Amino acid sequence: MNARTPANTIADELIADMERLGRRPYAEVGVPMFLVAEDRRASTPPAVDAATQWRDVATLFADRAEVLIARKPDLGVSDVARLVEVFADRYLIASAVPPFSMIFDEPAERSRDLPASLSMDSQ
Amino acid sequence: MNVQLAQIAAAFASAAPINAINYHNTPAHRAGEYDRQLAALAERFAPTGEDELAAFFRTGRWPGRKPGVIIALYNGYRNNYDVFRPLLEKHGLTGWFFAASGYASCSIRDQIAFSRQNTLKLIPDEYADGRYAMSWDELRDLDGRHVVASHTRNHVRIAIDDAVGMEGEIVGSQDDFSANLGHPVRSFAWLLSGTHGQSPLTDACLARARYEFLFSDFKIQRLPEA
Repeated sequence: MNARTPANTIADELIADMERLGRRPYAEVGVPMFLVAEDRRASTPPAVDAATQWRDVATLFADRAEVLIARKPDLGVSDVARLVEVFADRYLIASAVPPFSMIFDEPAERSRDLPASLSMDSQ
Repeated sequence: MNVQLAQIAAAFASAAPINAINYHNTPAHRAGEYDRQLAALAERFAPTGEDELAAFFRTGRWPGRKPGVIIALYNGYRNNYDVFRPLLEKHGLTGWFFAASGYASCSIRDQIAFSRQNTLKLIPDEYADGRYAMSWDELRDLDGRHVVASHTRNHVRIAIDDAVGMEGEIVGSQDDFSANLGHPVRSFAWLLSGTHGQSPLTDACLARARYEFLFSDFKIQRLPEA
């Protein structure tokens, strides 16, 4: 992150995004998730997907995890799940489209800028 | 760092994860929303079934030009068949219908009570005839065109040391699918966030049921061959 996006701001935005997603009616909406692929048969893991875009997201995820833990040292499973959801919501499709949860919103409602908490430029 | 979060961050750093969208109830009043979401997914992802997932595990790459996505529908609600299935097919996508086998077998008269007892949320007054679960006829219709998978027998949480309960929910559910579809299903989603490798009792049941894929909160595991 740079001097213009202090950790407190990033943590605030991240938690706000987690809370926004947490307010969705989970029983009726689509919830994007990133799931780790674990092969219990193979002695070696599958080939690494070397897509640059994913490496950037993974780096951002690790950074935001650190920021979140600094703010909430007693993270629970639901917090972990919500953090993954925030990233999946933002990056599952592509950075060029609105977050998955906003696909259905009218353009005026989703014309917000990407918050610093999820911007690769703020690392 | 939180151990679970550290494990996820490490896994993300080593390989791209599998993309998934999880749905539960899919009521008609949200059909427009689902339609737009599926349109967006169809532009970016290839239809993905169990063969494609197996290929991903073997090679680390999706077999087609586009990446795969698991579009999962949990619990076996009738509105998944009535509302969501036609939209999947309109957009050429594959759904993963994780059904609780006991819910499909439950009589219409008992389905509301079954839902209440087993943490299955219903859309109030959605179906005047009282049938809220997908029927076995509907699951057979989905089978092959989409993925039909097990989400336990009764959608109940079982203590990790409850051998009888675990046998029924893991192996018994597979027995139900085999009897009603004519073949076993390949994928299983557990309620306990449990993963393979955590409990010998669970692992033994998964092996007896001969599931190939285990879905949990943060992972998809390809299981050892039984």
